[in-house]
Amino acid sequence: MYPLVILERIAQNDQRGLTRRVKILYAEDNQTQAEIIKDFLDLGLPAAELDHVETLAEAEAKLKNDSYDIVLLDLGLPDAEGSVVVQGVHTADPKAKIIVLTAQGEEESARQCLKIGASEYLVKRDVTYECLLKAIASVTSEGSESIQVEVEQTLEELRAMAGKDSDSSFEQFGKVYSRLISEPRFVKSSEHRKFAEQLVSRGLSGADALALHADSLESVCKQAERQDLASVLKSSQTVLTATLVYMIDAKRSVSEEKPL
Amino acid sequence: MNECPYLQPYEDLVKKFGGSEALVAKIANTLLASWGADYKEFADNLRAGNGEEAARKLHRVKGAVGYFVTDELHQQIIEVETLAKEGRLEEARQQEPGLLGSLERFDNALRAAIER
Repeated sequence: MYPLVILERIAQNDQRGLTRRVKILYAEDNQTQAEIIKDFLDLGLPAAELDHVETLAEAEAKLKNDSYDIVLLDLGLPDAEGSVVVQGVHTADPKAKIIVLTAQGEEESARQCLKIGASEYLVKRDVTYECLLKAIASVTSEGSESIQVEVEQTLEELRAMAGKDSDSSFEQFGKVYSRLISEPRFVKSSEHRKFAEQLVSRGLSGADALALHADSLESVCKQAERQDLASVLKSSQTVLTATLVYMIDAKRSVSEEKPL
Repeated sequence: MNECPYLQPYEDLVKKFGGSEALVAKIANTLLASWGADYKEFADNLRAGNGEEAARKLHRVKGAVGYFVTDELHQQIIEVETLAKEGRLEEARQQEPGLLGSLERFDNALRAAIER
């Protein structure tokens, strides 16, 4: 059973589940089927943005001009059938998650589609409100679940290395440090160096800096869009390395200035 | 509880449609208003000897009614669709009246179910 909480979060476009409105492109030429799926989505994902097209050519045009999280795809469109439909959509937007809707008895063809870019397939006749939402929840959380885990592991490692909490240093320096993480233009700038020197002058050690880094990173990740977490995590590594190097430099300068 | 062998139990349909009887009625009404036209195109093409086009039209009917019909009627549709697709038109023509009869029974049962 899929965790109900994820379905609820998606249904509400909750900040903890999906940080932005789900955008869906639906390609289906059969009006009754289209209406069923649209009604399911209205019921389960009232805040989703849905565009409906009837041909592969229309779908490709939409995907070239706009960005969609999910493409719900009938395999029997008037201008293309089967894997050709999936290939066309995948080529037009490799990032969009494709959920194939297939007729009963054509599951083998749908399974083949999973090898060429589709993320999931559903047999039309068996599609229920609940299973459609589950499929959407499943494909939209595929990438974001793993990056969330990576963020948590990183924070855990940093805190283990620091061996302490940032205590009051986060209150003092957290705002600036968070800005370094979230705004890459400040990284390795003269402001960054001065900030590191300030940390040293206030008596912060390397362990203090690691703890400060962990708390600041956590704060930035909480506010970041889920799709931006990977880049935040990556840039934070540069921030940490540069901060520690600048702090070592600053300490060395201080010790060199001390009279013998 | 419905007695038609071609219509899925109403309770199952409601469950399938997220517990919304209003949604079942809405979709059923769309289906009831549209399947006849698609079926007529299928039958016309079958009579005219256009097997592939007939199969395509029947495929649309199958897609539309698929959410509501029982496996028995679904299988009946698949058989005629396959015959048409394979060019076995005489066999498809022989089965067509029986299929129409089943679909009409399904149609009546669905109308009665949503009126209740």
